[in-house]
Amino acid sequence: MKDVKQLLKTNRAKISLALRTCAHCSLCAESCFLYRTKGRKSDLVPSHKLINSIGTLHREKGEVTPETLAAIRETAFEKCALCMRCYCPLGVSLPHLISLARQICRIKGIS
Amino acid sequence: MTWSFGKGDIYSFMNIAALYPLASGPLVWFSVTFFFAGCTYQVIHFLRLTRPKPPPAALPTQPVRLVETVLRHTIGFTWPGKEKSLALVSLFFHAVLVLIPLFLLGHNIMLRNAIGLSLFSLPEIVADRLTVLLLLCALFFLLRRLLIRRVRRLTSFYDYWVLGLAIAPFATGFLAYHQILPYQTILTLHMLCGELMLIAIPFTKLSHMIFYFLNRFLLGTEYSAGPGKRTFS
Repeated sequence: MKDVKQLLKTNRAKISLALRTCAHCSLCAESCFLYRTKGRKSDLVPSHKLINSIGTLHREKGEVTPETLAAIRETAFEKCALCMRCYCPLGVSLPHLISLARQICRIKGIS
Repeated sequence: MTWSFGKGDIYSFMNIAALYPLASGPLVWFSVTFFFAGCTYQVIHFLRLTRPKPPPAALPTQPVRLVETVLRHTIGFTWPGKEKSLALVSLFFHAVLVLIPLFLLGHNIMLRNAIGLSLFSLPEIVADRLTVLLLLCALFFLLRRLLIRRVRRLTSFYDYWVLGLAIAPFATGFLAYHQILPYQTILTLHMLCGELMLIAIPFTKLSHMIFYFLNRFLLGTEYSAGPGKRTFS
């Protein structure tokens, strides 16, 4: 748990910057092949995945319920292939931060 | 013009127009100073989060080829994206959002009165028509947030607040120019909205005004608008 807090603390400025820069424009949607091929579901939009994985962990300072953690795991591992093709017009590095959510899931023993 | 807060002014303070001397004087200087100081802070913050990185060796070194590659990756591919109409509306909206306040005749007259210098001014009719188009673009963004499911799911109250904050100076400016509502009140409200927007830019989601350029032009990623000379440390 301490590692999670440390990891979030180390990356706090980067996560906070990304969440602040994201204008919720959803322009990243079309760059995600999962969004385009799996029924264009809104929870597959890259920014949605960012906000609901590392965004949640950042907001809750890593202290999330098992249900929330399971949802984060699903978002970071099953709704994202980390193909690095997502495109943000404002330059937010989405895959980098989603991979951080994966890292936290692994530390918490859920992957 | 000086602002005084004398005996009995507490009653007139309830009247927005009574704030005119404050809004057109000290608050202007405060908000402009805050805006530039906040932007500088954010740029320094960004530079401290990143470190220099050598450009990828694959990029051509000849200036002409480099420019061609950069243009292909920015204008030719990444800039319009898949939603070309949205990209066009967005580009127009953001360009006008910056150009109107800078090149408005009324603003330049006030600037000349204050510091003796002014910028080029757009004809009033052009600024007025551009404001209408800007408000229509904002309506487009609002409807998009309300009607498109994937955008609605990403949207929080904060996004509506930020959109309102960006639009309020233009809506009130339009009303003041056409003198649709009590002029002095609307003009004061216009100034207060503009000042609030300037103060909000560095520390709210409006900071994408700063980070757009820093992220796209300085960070080296697949979609960089340039070779990308920095990376997150």
